[in-house]
Amino acid sequence: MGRAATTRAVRQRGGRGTPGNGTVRALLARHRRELAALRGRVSEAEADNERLAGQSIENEQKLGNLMSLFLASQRLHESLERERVLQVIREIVANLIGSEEMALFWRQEGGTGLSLLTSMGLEARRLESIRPEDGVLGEVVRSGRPYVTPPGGVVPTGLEAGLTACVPLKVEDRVVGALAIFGLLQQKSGLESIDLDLLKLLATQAAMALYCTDLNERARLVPR
Amino acid sequence: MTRRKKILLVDDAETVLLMERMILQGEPYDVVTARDGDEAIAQALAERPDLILLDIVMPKKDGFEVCRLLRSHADTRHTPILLVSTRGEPQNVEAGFASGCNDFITKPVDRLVLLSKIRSHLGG
Repeated sequence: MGRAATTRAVRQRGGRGTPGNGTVRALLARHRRELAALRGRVSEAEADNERLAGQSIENEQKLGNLMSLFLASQRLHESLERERVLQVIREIVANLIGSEEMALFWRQEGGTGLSLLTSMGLEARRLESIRPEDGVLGEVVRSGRPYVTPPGGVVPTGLEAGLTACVPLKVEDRVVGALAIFGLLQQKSGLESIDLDLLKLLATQAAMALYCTDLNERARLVPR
Repeated sequence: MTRRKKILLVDDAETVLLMERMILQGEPYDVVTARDGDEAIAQALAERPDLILLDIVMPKKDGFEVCRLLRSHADTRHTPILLVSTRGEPQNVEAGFASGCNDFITKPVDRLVLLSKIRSHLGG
């Protein structure tokens, strides 16, 4: 019952004399109960609002992540020219994952091991001495499983010092290369779930895109 | 009817331009692009955008120089410029503000951060 209703009730009793103390107390008690119930509903509404706002932010972030994955996938298959595909891989690593230090190793046609295909932000001398068959890189290539340096865990040393992640590049479950990510950009404290998703995507889509450039190159060499 | 605001996106990486375009898709803005420093200045003067998202490391002229040149031109002196860069080190942020930018965004670009900064500088 609202304030106006209370006033009305009191006025109605006006003709029959003033309301007794018992009536006023009952009305007050009722108002207090209603007020408490309303406060409870307001709290519930506020909690709902907060939850929905949180969900909305989460959905917006998911949308942003999906955009990154869609864009990476789309860009990797835009060209059959090897240099353009490599440029796209460098752009994805720098602008979507957030690292300007990477090396990509690839199994050359007829070759037994991997050799460096492209790199970014790493000294040539250091790159020359990294042997894809040794260390973390070698293990990734042999096992076909990605490696991510655990936060606060044991980090690779020696030539692979600063390695943040390494993913095998696979075509039909066959390892045809490896992508090693070293230092992250200063503003990044570590790899996030979207970065790991992008790395997974690169493991298959970049491998397939590069494999297609190989096929395209071979097709060009076939005499017509 | 109010005029749609226009945003100039400047970056030499096609991936970044496409990402920024995707983020702005569905928002009430028209978008024009440039891929290097010279093109950025030409587009800024020709298109008169309401806001510029400017990369730092680019061919021909870097973002700092582009920012200084746009600030010295009467037509673009007050256009909000947001530097977008992989280089988030304090000295770069400082250099950005010294060159006349209004805000600084680090890559990888966070969709929500980008949209909120754009809205805040465009007022709505």
